Amino acid sequence: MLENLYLGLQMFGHPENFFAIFVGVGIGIFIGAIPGFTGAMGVALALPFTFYLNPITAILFLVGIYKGAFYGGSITAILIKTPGTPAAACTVLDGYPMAKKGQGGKALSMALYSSAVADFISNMALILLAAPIAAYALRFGPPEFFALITFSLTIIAGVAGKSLMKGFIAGGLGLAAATIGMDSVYGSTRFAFDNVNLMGGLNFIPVLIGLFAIPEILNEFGKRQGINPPAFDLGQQRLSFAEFRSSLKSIIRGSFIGVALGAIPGIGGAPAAFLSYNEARRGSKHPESFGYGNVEGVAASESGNNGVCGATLIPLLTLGVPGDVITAILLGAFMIHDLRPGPMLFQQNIDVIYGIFVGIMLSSVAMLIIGKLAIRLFSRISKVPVSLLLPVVLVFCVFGTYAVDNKMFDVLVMLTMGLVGYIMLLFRIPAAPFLIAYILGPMFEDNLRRSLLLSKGDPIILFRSPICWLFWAATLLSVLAIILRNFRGKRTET
Amino acid sequence: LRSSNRETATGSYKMKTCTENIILGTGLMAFFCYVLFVLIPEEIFVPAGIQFRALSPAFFPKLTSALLIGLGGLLVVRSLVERKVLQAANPATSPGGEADNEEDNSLDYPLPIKAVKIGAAVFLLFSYYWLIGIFGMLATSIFMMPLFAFLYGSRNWKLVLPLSIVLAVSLYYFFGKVASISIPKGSLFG
Repeated sequence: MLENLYLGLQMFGHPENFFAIFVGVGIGIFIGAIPGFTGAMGVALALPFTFYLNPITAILFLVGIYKGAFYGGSITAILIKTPGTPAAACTVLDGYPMAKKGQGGKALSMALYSSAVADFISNMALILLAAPIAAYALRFGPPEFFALITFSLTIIAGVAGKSLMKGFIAGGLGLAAATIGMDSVYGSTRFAFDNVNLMGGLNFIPVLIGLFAIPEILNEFGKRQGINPPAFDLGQQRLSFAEFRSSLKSIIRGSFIGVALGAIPGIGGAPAAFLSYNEARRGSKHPESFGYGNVEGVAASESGNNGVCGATLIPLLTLGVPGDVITAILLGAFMIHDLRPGPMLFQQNIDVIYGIFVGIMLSSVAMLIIGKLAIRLFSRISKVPVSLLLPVVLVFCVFGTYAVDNKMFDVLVMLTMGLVGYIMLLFRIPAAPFLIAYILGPMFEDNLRRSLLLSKGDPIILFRSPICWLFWAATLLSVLAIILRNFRGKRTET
Repeated sequence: LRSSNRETATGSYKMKTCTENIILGTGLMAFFCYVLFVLIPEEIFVPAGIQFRALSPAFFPKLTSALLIGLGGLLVVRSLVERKVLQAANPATSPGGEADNEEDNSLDYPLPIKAVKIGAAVFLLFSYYWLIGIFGMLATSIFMMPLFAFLYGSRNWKLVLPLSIVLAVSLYYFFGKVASISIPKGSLFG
């Protein structure tokens, strides 16, 4: 491992990589701090700009945005009670009451330090766990991958939002959209309508940008602009070392909760933040002060949601399975650079992997430095008018989408998918399950058909090994948990 | 009385959601029946002599279409049952009643204005695509960005106009010169 780390250091040691990670984190914090903008949208918009960079620089830039957005989401959660990202929703509970009491600066500092510590712990977990898991995953054949991807498809339930049924519909639509183009076994075209542009299928980036950016642009047209929620300033109180030290236990516990939940596909930052917050409250001598501006509450929720960041990369890098929407986009970014995440990546491109690991470690430092230096600047971002930001985003979308393949057809796909995304928004169908199914769909189909080719059509091959059984059991448990949660939710409603 | 009004309003909202879901479910079923019975046989070439059904290029599209038809049907049935239960529990709620939306839509324009604004935005989006073919990506972007800002209600021309030029030129320079991509110049300038 040390040898690989040395190789990684050599690969990483170029100024552009340092620059990429710092700029990425800065952009991520900026995007995360704008209400309504998500890290997924930020990574999607930045993706076309990375085609011309070398793989390590490109991936680090995107990972920087991912991590920055996670922290950035806490800024608006604390100052204007509007979480910039879903994962920051828990930070509102104590962050906003603190801001109301004139302790906004203290809450933001605690959010920054706890995010950086949790991010560091999560990155360490990634580095220590990824290689052994990848080595084990080398034993996987098509049936094992099919079982794994079936399990991964259950993550749709985790990103389905309020209605599980609509989450499944979105997933089904994603699977259907993924069938457009060339069939991987016989080379037959599917739903191409004699259009050359459709024979290769729909390009991933126009679909992604269309689904995540355009509906937001359209939706804002229906709203009155210029009415901003009241924003508190940072105040004069600063975080003392004693306050940080007294919250350290919650930060470390939250980081490990984040790592554990982040490594499981589909859980995401929000549940980790709430679980960490709950544990901190349970263990506190003053649980009654939680929810009324307790700085430990901010520390616990931020460490929980940032602890997820590095850990979500574990299933992505080792098994090629994205754990959430952003890692699904990162999977696309790897593929654009001819890198296919999964166990073989650790055999063929170990230097690149460890180069990325070294850069990822630096992202925690970048977050700390940028967050500390620019905390006042970022706290003003929420005041930037949407009427100015969204037209800028639109121009980015058009240039970025065209740059994918130099085809105006991709721009048309992006706009059409945007319209589809807006209709989905009207019917409250979430976009995230669509994207995850769109990414996993071809892998699902391909591994199923390859398995059946191997067994000459006998489906028993799908249960051929203990690994298959393990994933089928996990799928069953996951489905049972979904049904139980749904049932409990219905009972609570009534 | 206030509590009873709130209950009626929430009931109307749920009723509205049920109606929406029935439309959605019916639409899904209709579209994917068309996919399953018309598009798949017409648009997927299945080579002769495939031994196992699961290996056919049409198998997975058929499976997803059937799944979506099933989900659409389930949504319709569930919404119909929910609507019946709601009507039985509170006869004052009707599908056409005033709905108190559970989501925060306080910033939304009234529905007719909203529909016109969004319709105009969709038209402009596709016009953007179409105009690129005539005027090129740079000129169209310089023109479109202020237009969109205007539609959003921004009147700060001193900021919007220079920003649109700087942004479009920067992106043109980055993709055209740094990344060596041929940016569309349009039939007028090409």
